[in-house]
Formats: sequence, C-alpha cells, structure tokens
Amino acid sequence: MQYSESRTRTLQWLTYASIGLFIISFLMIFFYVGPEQTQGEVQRIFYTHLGAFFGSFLLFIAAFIAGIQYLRTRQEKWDDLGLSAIEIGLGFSLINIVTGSIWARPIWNTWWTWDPRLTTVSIMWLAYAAYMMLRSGIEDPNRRRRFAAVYSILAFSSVFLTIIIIRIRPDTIHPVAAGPTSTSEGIEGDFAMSTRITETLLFTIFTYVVISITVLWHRIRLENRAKQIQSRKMKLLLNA
Amino acid sequence: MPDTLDYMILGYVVAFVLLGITIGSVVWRYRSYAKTEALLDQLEASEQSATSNPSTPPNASSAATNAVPSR
Repeated sequence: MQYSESRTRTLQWLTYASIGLFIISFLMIFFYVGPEQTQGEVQRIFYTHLGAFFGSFLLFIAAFIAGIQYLRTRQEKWDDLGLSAIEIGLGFSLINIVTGSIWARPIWNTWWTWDPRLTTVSIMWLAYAAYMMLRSGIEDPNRRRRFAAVYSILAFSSVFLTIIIIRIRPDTIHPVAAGPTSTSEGIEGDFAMSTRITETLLFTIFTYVVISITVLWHRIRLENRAKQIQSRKMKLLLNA
Repeated sequence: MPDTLDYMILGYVVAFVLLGITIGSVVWRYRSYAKTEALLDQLEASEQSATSNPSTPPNASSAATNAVPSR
C-alpha cells in the first residue's frame, strides 16, 4: 500500500512530538512538581496512572466508533482500526492497573482490593482481552470482522461503567481525580491539587493521548503491511 | 512525609517496561515484516527473470526460490 507523502510526514512529526512530549512530561513529574505532603514520592505515580487511563479510554472509544462504522459500511479499514485500538489500549490499560496497584500498597496498605472501581477496571481489561481471543477463534474473515465489531461495541459498556462507578457507588475508596462525586467519606488517598500538580497532570494526560494516537497510527500501518505481505505470498504460491 | 520512594521507583520501572513492550511489539513486527518483504522482493525478482527467460533450467528458478538473505 502506498501512502501519501504528507501523511507519512505527519506521522513522522507526530512520532517526534510524542518522544519530545514524553521527555518534557517526565521532567515535569520529577523536577517541576514537588512530592505531595501526605503520600510522599509515590504520589508521582498518579500522573502516569491517569495518563495511561486516558490513553486507553481514547483507544477504546476509537474501537467503539470503528465497530459501529464497520457494521454500517463493511469496510475493512474500520476493522483494522478496531483491532489496532484494542491491542494498544490493552497495553495502556495494563499500565493503569499495575501502577494503581503499586500506588495502593503504601496508601491503602494492600496491593489489591475488590473495590467497585478496581473490579470494573478488571472486567474492562478482561473484556478487551477476550476480544483478541474471539478474533483468533474465528477463521472466516468476514464473520470474524462482523463478530469483532459487535463485540467491541458491547465491550465499551465496561468502559462506561468504569468511569461512572466511582460517582454512583458510595462504598468506593478510589479517589475521583476530576468531576463530581456522590461521596467523599470513604475515599482513601485523596489529596489537594495545587496549580503545579494540575498543570503536570494535564500535560501528562495530553502526552499520553498523543502517544496513543501515534502508536495507533503505526499499528494500523503495520496491519496494512501484514495484509500486503499475505497477498504477495498468495500470489507467489499461485504462480509457483 | 512518609517514605514511599521505593514504590514510586517500582511504579515507574513497571510502567516503562509495559510501555516499552506495547511500543516495542509494534517496532519488532515492523522489522520482521521488512525482512519478509525483502525476501519476497527476491523471490518475485527470480520469478520474473524465470518467466522472461524461458531457456533458464527449472532448477535455477527453484534454487532462487530457496534463497535466503545473506547474513
């Protein structure tokens, strides 16, 4: 597949921008913002934890839209987008879960607890991991694409649930970083957001969003390349 | 202020490793496909030369098909 030069240049520029943003965000986390008084140094995990969540959230939205678009148009490019978004989203989501668990150890005094938010985020991750297994289990390409599209639409309900759960369940101990909450009594590990914390947090979220778009774009190109190789192999086999 | 530095280091090491795996898997597949493409180029070239030059013995074409890139 031939790509236009302007698109390739945009992707190249986006890749350099991602690297630059990542370095700046790293410097901001460790040098611009100081340690939080009640949690100490471990609070710095919070920036990456939330950034990775927003990255995965964006990718799962992309997969949801791709699923709808595939069912509407039956164009393969939407299936490629869905697959690529979920594969990269799983990586970002895993960063979110694992960093959260490491933060929880000194703050909640446990690596893991079946808090409503932690439970829904685990369900979300498993739901998208099952998407990959579903794809590999169906041989007919058209059927696989159709099932994957429907599944990616249904799986998005777990993302929605993960976002709203800390706002509707009063028994959660997970802090709410942004937006309204129905409770503040049981929350463990909440802290006041200074200007520097807010700036660093917003910058890190922006960085992760740019990184996720860049990696997604590369992953889609990889998928196109794989298909191209497959068709070339088939042609050679037919000619042999 | 509590001493939680170890957990912060652990968190960032794990985060970078996972990010590295996510991005690295794409890069690794890119490289692997590039190698496959180079091999396909060779095979297609030998196929073309075999069809354009029918006097070439059949063994020559199959030898080219089995060619592997030099290390």
